[in-house]
Formats: sequence, C-alpha cells, structure tokens
Amino acid sequence: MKILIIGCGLAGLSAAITAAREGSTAILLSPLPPERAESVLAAGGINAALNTKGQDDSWQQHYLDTMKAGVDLADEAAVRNLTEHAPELIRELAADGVAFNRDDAGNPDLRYFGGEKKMRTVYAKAGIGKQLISGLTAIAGRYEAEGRIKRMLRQKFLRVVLAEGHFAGIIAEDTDSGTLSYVPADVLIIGSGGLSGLFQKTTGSCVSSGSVSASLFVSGIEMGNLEMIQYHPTTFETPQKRILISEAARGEGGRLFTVRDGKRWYFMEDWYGKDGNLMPRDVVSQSIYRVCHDMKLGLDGKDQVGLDLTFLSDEIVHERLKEITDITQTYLGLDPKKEILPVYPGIHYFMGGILTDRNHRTSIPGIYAAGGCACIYHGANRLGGNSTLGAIFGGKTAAQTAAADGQKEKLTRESRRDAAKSGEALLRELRSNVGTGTERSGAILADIQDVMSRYMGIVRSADELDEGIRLLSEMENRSPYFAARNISDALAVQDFRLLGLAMLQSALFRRESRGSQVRADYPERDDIHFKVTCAAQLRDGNISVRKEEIGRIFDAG
Amino acid sequence: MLVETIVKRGEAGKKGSRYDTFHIECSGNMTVAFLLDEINKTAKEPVAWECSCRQKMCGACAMVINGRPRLACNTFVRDIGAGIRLEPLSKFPLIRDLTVDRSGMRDIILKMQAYPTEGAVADYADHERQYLASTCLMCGCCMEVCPGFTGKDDFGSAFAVNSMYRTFSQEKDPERKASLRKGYRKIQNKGCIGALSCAEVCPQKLPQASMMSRINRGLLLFRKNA
Repeated sequence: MKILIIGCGLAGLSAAITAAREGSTAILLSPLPPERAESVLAAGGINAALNTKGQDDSWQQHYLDTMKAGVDLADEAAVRNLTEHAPELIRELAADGVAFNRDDAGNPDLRYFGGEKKMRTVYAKAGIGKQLISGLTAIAGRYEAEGRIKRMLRQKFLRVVLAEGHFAGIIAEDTDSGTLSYVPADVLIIGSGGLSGLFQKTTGSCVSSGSVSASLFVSGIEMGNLEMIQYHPTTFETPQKRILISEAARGEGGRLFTVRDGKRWYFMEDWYGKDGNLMPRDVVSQSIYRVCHDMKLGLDGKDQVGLDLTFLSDEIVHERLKEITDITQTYLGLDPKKEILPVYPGIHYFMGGILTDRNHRTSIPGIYAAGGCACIYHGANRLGGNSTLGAIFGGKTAAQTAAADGQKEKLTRESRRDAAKSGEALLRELRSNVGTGTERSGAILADIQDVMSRYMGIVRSADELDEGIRLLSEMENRSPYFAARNISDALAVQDFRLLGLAMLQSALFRRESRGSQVRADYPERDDIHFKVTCAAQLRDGNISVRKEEIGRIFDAG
Repeated sequence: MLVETIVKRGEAGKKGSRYDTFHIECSGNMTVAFLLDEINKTAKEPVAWECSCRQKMCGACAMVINGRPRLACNTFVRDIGAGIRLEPLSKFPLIRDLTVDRSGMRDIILKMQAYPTEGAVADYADHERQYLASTCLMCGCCMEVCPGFTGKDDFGSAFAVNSMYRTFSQEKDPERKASLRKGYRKIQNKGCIGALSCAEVCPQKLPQASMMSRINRGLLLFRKNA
C-alpha cells in the first residue's frame, strides 16, 4: 500500500515508520526535511504515567488530567487510548535511542508540568522536540535505506483530488520551479501542524502555516473546535515572532509575579495556592491577561509579568533548562539565573483543526490526520507535554488504522484513472490562474492576520467577532497575484480567508466560556448546550458551523 | 542605523550571478533574518532563502554572511556591522539566491548506514554526548569550512560524525559494527585532516573533536577485540 504523508514532523515521521514496519511504502512529502519541522521547537517534554517516582501515578490519572484540562470536550475513548499507551511508547523511544534525561535507576526521568499533580513529563533538558525528531529520523533511516520510506522534498501540498468522494491523490507544487504535479496514492495522512499562518506572531515556525488544513477545508473536510486556540502563558516577542519559554521553567520551580503597591505579588500562588504557577495553560494565560488588562498591573506598566528563575540552582537553570537559558540570552540578552524574564501569553497551539475520530480518520474516506493539524485529544485546552505524545501516538495510530481499513482496495482501477484525469484537469485549472490577480498576496495575508490576531484574542465577544467576520467578508474581492513560480502563496491567502471566517464563526457560535474560549458576553460554562464539538464545513461556497456529538466515528469508506 | 545588504543572486542551470544591494533602516538588535524579511516586503524579485523556526533551532537559514557560514536568525547587526554581504553556502548545488540543495547530507548518512538497526540499544552512560550529537541542526555550516569536504566525493565531514556517533554507540552486533566501521573509515576517516574548523563555526558549538576521537578510539579498540 502506498501511503502519502504530508509533513515530516513528529506525526509524519511516526506515521511513516509505522507504515514501513507494517509493510507499506510511505512517501513523506514536505517542503523541508524533518530537522526544519516545527516539532523541533517542542521544549518541555512528553507525558507518560511511568510511575517511577513513588507517587502512585497511573495512566488513569493521566487520562483524568487530560480530560479535565480539556474541559470535557475531547473524546474519552481517544484520550484513553493515548494515555494508556503512553508508557509503552516512551519505553520504545528510549530503547530506540532517544536521549531522554535519566533518573538514578536508568529510567527516563520525569518532571512536574502544568495541570498535573504527579511527575509525569519525560524530558530531555528543555529540548524534547529536537531529541525526538533526531531519534525518529535515525529510526526512519533504516527504512529509507530499504526504500520503504521515501522523501519527496521541496514539494508543497496544494489540493486534494477525490474519486467518488474518496481520496485518490493530491496536486503538489515544486517549491523551486513552481511545477505542479499529480501524486496518486492509496492513503493520505496529514501531519502538517497547526494554523500559525492565520496570525501575526506566534511561537510556531513559518513553514508550518496551516495552508494544508486551509486547503482541505476548502475541499470540504470537516473542521472541529476551531475557536480553541492555546495562548501559552510565557512567551516573549522578537521582531519576527514570539518565542516560547517552556513550561519546564515553572515545572522546575519558576514563579510568576508582578509588582503591586511596590511589592512583589505572586498572583498565581495567591489565587490558586502554592502550585498556582502550574495551573493549566488557559488558566495561567487568562490570569496574566487579568493582571495586565483588568487590573492594569503589568510589570513596568507594560503588557507583561515577571518569570523568576533566579533562586533556582545553577544545575537547574543552566543544565535542565539549558535551551531556555540559551534562547533568552540570545534574544533577550537576559541570563535567567541573574535576571527576571518578562513574559506575556502568545499563540502557541491549536486544539481545534481537522476533525479526527479516535481512529484518526477524518470526514473524507482515505484521509487521516495526526499531530498539530488534528482536532482530537486536547479538547478546549491542551496539557503541556501532551502535544509531542499526541503527535507520535497519533501518527502511529493513523498509519495502523489506514492499514486496517484496507484502503488499497477501495477504488477500482477505472476510478483511479478517472481521478488521474480530473487531477490533470485541476492542475491545468490551477495553472491557468498564473498572471491573474492584482495585489501582492503578502499584503492581503498581513490584513487577514491582523483581523485574526485582533479578534481571536484571549477574551472574545460577539461584537468583536462580528466585526472580524465583517472585515474578512469584505476582503472577498481582493485578488492575490498568482506568480508563475509560486501559485501556492496566492491560493493559501484565499483559503486562509475562508478558514479564518470559519474560526471567527466557531468562536461566535460557542456562546460559553470553556477552556481557551473566553467570551466576555457569556462568561459561564454551559454544559447543557455546548458540551459538543463545533464542526465547521464549507459546502457550496457557504461556511456552516453546527453542533456535533463528541466522539463521532467516521467511515472507513 | 542604515544597513547595506549585498546579496548574491543566481539560479540553478543559469550561468553567472550578480550582486544586488539593499538598504534597510534598523537597529543593531535586528538579525539578518529580519533584514531579509524586510527586503522581501518590497523587492521586485524577492530574495530566495530558507527559513523556518527563526530562533536558531532548525538550521534552515544557514548561509555565508560576511565570508563566514552562520544562521541568519542568530546573526545580529550589532555583531557584524552595517555592511553585510550574503552568499549561499558554496559547497551545495545552488537552487536560487541563498537557497541550496542540502539533501546530499541525508544521502551521506544513509550511505554510512548511520541509523540504528534491530537490536541496537541506547547507551545511557553516555547520555550527555548522545544528547549533544542529536542537537546537530544539519545546517551545513561545518561543511562550508571543511578543507576535506568538496561535495565531489564520498567524504561526509563533521555533521556525519554526529549521526555516526549515536549509531556506533548504540549498535552491539559485531557484524554490524564491522560494517559500520568499514563505511566510517571509507567515508569519514580518509577525508578529515583534523583542522576542526567545523567546531569553530558550529552554531550548536558541538564538541566535534571529542566525538571524533571517541569514535576513532572505539574503532581501534573494536579492531583489536574482533
């Protein structure tokens, strides 16, 4: 079976390795190789209830913490799968050579992380993502040498091609020449990461913009809980992006504070008790927002609070948090052992995305999704350390389901031939756009990002969301210029506008506050009406948002 | 300050190249990556360059900056001054402007079989070096300054040492070790003259000397034991 995988971060690599192990051929299609993937930025760790600290931990507690942090929006069965299999996954990765920190007994070491009372986050200093990517890339090497994993680099996903409503192939663009080609396959697994490209400055990478998700949305795939955007509490701004200071800083003891009446005020500890700094991310971010906006108590009168690591030992700051120290010294000129780090919440993760069932199927038969692009495990708010886990476990599960679904037999030879023909036709149609359009796509994108950043903030209201929808709707007639070598940019801008609208509409539709969705006009959680997935879909040019039962299972086709 | 940036422009398959000059007003705290973004906001023909994380963790933006290979996102105007010259890494096939094809790096790793096979076991005792070896960005800066690496033969240069270091310390099977040793000697040992310029320019400051000597020592001891 030929499995085409979009993206070569943790989800894509994990899917490819699993597919190869199960006897399939995996094609990893992406603009850049794994070492450039956004996954390398993952900092703090990967969660698994290893129970090696004498704290009587169990996967059931990991399950409960994940569901609670997600405020009951995730599918219980999916989260059960994830948490139950996490320890086994970690043991496999450790045996395969991922350089996790080790405790004295030789077990992968654990640290505290937000939203969890037990030490449950396996770590590698403060650079888990890079270690996991290096580890998985090395493992993949063996299958690359056997020809079971093939890299298709310098290629961008443009459009999916369906036959009788079933996946048949994709149109890809060569990032250098702009040449378009039709790539057929039996199965498509999407591992293209989150939706950072819709916003101005996030903690993400620029290759991981979300254009793949936006394109699939335009092709009719169902999206879930798009309103659920994680603002990570501790980030700082550079001229080009926001940079994350890992939750590990607080997991190792770091404290958040501001100054009130001339004295330090540890607001998280004051409001939530001694473990207050390690509340789930939505709670911490909303607290910082409250301090800076409602109380006007930002440090030095700015939108920022202090993160204090100075009292921690040298070993912790310079070894266990090595990457944090390195980054703040380079981009802030601050040594966290000596100085206070100014931080403010920044967009970091998207709990919503391609609606994905517990088997990692999507609403289009033959297409599977995993990792940051998928809406599956994290509900209304993700626990730190669950994204790396969700990506690796998700990629693996997606590849296993795809194999079990027997996708190779789903389409007849005739329908494949027809699909190839319609692929070629679509390719010509896309190419015919070259030279059309009047405006630099970057300028339109900047305006979309401006609207999204303004109206999809930490706190939302109907008035503001309506205004955002109006502004994006008005942009319908702006036509991005289609450059011959690069039609993907113009296409992405058109797709982003539609996905952005769906996101604003989803936030408007959910008239409650839950997890990362905070509505000033609906401050209460409303389980009676909104303990549901907000499903968004584009049909006949119209965006619809509706309630979908949590835990819906999709057809294998 | 007004920063003058001179960029080498060229394209695969086309002969010749030219230098374009751009002027950007910015503070010394800006990076070369920022300058390139600014340049591309108005350039008639945008400068092609590779960029992903913008915080020195992915290696995409390696290029030759004022004669030395560096990461654009980790090179500040305050450190190199207001006269900046940008050229692509010269030992890889040029794609366009500052973009080169570094896929040959993966080919070298696969040719050296620098990946774990069935039965490979992680070596915990050596955690610190394993960790460091795994932080290699695959940016190619080391290859730019390596006197042995020409891109025309099999020689891998320093980045390959990182993958090999991990693999060699994980593999336990004598036959597999012997085959790795053969590949390593052929691809790595013969080309390295020990200049260690690689360690000088490595953005991750990886301890190439100690890793190489550890591998070499392992190879010698292994030969004696076998």
